[in-house]
Amino acid sequence: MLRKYAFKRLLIALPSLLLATVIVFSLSRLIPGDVVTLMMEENQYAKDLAEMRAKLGLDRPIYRQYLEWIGRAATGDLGRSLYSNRPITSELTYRLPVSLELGAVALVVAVLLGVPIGIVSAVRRDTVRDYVARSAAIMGLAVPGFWLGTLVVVLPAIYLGWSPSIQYTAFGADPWRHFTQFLLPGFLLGVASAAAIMRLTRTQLLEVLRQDYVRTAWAKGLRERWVVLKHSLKNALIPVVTILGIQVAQILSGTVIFESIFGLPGMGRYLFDSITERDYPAIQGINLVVVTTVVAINLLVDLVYAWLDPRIRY
Amino acid sequence: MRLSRRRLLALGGLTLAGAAAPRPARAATPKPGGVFRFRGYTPPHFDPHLTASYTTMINLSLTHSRLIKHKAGPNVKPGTFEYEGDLAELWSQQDDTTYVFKLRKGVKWHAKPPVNGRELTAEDVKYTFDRFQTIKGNANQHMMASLAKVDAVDKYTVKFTLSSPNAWFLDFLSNPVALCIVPREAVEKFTDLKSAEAVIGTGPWVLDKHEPKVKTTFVRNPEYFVKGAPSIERVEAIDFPDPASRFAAFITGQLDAGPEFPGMMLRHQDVKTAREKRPNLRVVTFPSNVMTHVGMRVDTAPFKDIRVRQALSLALDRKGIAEATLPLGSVRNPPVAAGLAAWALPVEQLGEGAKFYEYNPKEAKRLLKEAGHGNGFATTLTYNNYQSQELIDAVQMAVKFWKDVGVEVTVVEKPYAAYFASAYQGKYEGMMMGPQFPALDPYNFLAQYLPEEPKNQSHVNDPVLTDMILNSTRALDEKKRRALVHDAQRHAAKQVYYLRINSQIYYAALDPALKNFGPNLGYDYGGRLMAAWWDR
Repeated sequence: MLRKYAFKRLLIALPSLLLATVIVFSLSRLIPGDVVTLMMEENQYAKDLAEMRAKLGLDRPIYRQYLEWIGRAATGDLGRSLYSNRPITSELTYRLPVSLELGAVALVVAVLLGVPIGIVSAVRRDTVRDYVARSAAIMGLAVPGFWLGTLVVVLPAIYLGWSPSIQYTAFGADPWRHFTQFLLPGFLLGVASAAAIMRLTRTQLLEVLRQDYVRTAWAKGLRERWVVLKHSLKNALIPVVTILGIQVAQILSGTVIFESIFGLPGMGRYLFDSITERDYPAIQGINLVVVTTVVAINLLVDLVYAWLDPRIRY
Repeated sequence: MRLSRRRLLALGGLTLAGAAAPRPARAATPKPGGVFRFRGYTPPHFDPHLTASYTTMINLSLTHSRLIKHKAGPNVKPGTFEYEGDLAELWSQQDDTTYVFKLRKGVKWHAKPPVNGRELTAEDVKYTFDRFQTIKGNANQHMMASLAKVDAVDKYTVKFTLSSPNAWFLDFLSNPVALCIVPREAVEKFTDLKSAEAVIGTGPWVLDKHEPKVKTTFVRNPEYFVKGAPSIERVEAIDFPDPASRFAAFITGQLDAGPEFPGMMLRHQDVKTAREKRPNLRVVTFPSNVMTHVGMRVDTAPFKDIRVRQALSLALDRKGIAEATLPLGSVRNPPVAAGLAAWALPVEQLGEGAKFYEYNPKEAKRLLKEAGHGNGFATTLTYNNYQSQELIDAVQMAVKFWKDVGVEVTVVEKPYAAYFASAYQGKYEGMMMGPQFPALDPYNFLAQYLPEEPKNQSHVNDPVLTDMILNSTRALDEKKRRALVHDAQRHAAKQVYYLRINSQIYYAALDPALKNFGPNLGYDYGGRLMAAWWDR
C-alpha cells in the first residue's frame, strides 16, 4: 500500500520537477534583450555579440535550447561558468556539500529548539513560559537573518576580541574544525525555522490536547508526560513534518546570506557571486539543483507523512 | 669627447637605471619567516592578457615580475611611482622611440612544469609582449598602443621600438597591470594562462594552492633573484565577501592588514574602532586616486556655454558634500587626481580655474543669467550608485545645490552594466556622475580631454588643450613634461569641462610588527610586500 502511494507521489513529483526546469530555463531568457550586450561589454565574456549569443546558446530555436540544456543536465553537465570557464557541475560538487551541511545543522537546530519549546508552550498555555516562548518565536520570525548574523560576528569582535574564523577548513584538513565552523551559522540559520516550527507545534498540540481520546487518557489517570509525548505528540507532529519540507527551501535560500557572512564556500555564496558577475549559465545551474533538492525533500516529506499516519492515502 | 643627444640620453638612462636596481631598503636586519594574511580575491582566471580584472593582477603581483617596477618601501611617499629595475638590470633610451633593456642573468622561472625552473631570457620578454599585443580579448592593449616591435637582441638584451615618442612608456611598463612576463611553455601546455597551474612566474612567491572563494596560498620562492628576499615565508590571500565580517576578522587579528580595496585600507566608519581595538595599529593616510566627477555634454547646449559650466561648478558646495560623506577627510581634485602626488597640481595653484572650486551660489546665478538662463533650466544626470551610500548622498546633495540656483536636475539611475556601457563611455544626455578609473599615471586622467578617446565623457574638443596634452606625451624631459601637465590642468580647470568632486583620504592599516612595508595606491601588493618582514 505504502509502495503504491510512494509511486503515485513520485509520478506527481516528476511533472513538478519538469515544470520547475521550464521555469528555471525560461526566467533567464525573459530578462530584457540588451542584457546580453551588457554582459559582453561589462565582462568581456565574448569578442562580439554574435559570439556572446552563441556562448549562451541563444542562436538556436528556444525549444532546441531547452531540450539540449535538459538533456545535458540529465547527464550531469550543467555547462561552463562564463566568469571562470570552469564546469558548473564540478563547482557544485565542491559547493553543494557545504550548503547541505549548513542546512542540516540548521534543520537540526530548528527541530531541537522548535519542537520542545512548542510542547512546553502548549502544555503550559497562558503561563509566563508560554508568553516568553511565543515572544521569542515572534522575534525569531521578525529579526532578519543578515542582521542577526552581522551582530553575532561584529559585537563579540568589538566587546570580547573574538570573531568566528574567516578561514574555511575542509573536512579532510581537520574534521572537528570543519564541523564546528558550521555551528554558529547553522544555529542562526535555524532560528527562524525554529520559530515557525515552535508556533506550529504549539497550535497543533493544543488542538490534539482538546481531543476526546486525550481527555480519556487524562481520565484514566495517566501521567502528563505519557499523555503528551505518547498520545498527543505523534498526531500533533504530522503537520510539523510537512512544514519541515517548506523550511528546507527557506533554509536553502538563507544560505545565500549566511555563507557570505561566515565565508563558507557553499552554493548560496556561489549563487550570490554568479548574480553579481551576471553568470547566467551558473545561475541557471544552481537554481536547477536547488529546485531538484526541494522537490526531492518534499517528496521525502510526503513519504514520511504517510508513514507517520497510515490513514493518509491520496 | 663630444656628446651627441642620443649618447647623452643613453648615458642618462643607464645612470638612472644603475641607481635603480632593486635593493630593498631595509631599516633593520630582516627576520625570515612568518605568514602574511590579507583580504584576497578570487579572480575570474589568471591570464593577465585576457582580463582587465584587478583581482587577477593583485594575485600575479606576488608571483610574477615585470621589466621595471615601482619603488616600494616605507620611505616611498604614497601616490608617487618612481620606477626601478625588476627583471631589467639596466635600461637606456637610445633615441626618442627606442628603449634597450639589459636583463639580469640567472633569473629562474618557478620550479613548476612545464617550465621547471629554467632561466628567463630575452625571448621570454619578446614572447610576452608579442602575445600581449596580438591576443584577442586583451582589454589592456591600449597601454602598449605606441609599441611597434620588440626584438630579442641577444640572450639578455631586449629592444623596444615605438611608433612615436611616448613619454609615459616607462610608466606604463612599470604599471602592475597586465605587463608581467609569462613563459611560452605554459601557454603552449595549458592553451592559455587561465588555470592556477599556469601561474608560473619569476616573482618572490610561488602560487601553492588556489581554493576559489576561500583562499589562495603563496610560498616563498627560494630561487628569487633578489638575494635574501622575500623574508615572509607564506602569504595567504583570504577571500571573504562580507565587509562587516572582514572588519571583525581584522580587529581580532585574523588579518594583518586593513581589509578594504584598494591597498589594505579601512573604511572611514571603521577607523576609530580599529584604533581602539588594535592600539598599536600602524595607520598611514594618503589621498585616493579614485576620483568622482560630473561630466557634461559640452558639445551641446546649454553646457557648450562656459558660463553655464562655471555656474554649475560654483553652485556645488564641495566642502559640504565631503564633510557629509567622507567624515575623516578628503582632498580637492584638480584635473589630474590629487592622489597622484607627483603630478596633480594643488587646486590653489590652478590659477583662474581655482575660483570655480569655491561655493558661490550668488555668482553662479549671475553667470546663469548672463548665459540666458536667468530662470534656470532642466536637465538629467545619469549615474550608477556603485552600491556606495557616499556616492548616493553626494548625488542627492549636488542635485539640491543645483536646484538652489534654478537648475532642475532629474536623476536617471542605471544598473551598473547599463551605466558602464552608456554614460561611462560618454553615451548620455545632459550630465553624468561617477567614479573614474584609478590610474597611476597622469596621462589616463588627461586623456579624458582628448577627442576620440572613449574616456572623454564630456565630449571635449579643445584644440589648445589637445596640443598641451599631446605635447606632454612627447616631452621626454620630465621637468618639461611636468610643466606641460600643469599647464594642461590650469587650462582644463578654467574651462570647467568636468566638475571634480573631492576624493577620500585613504586609511591604510597594518599590523605594527610588519616592518619595511609602505602602502601605496595600485595593485602591486607583491612588489610592496617583497621587502617586508615580521618583527614578532
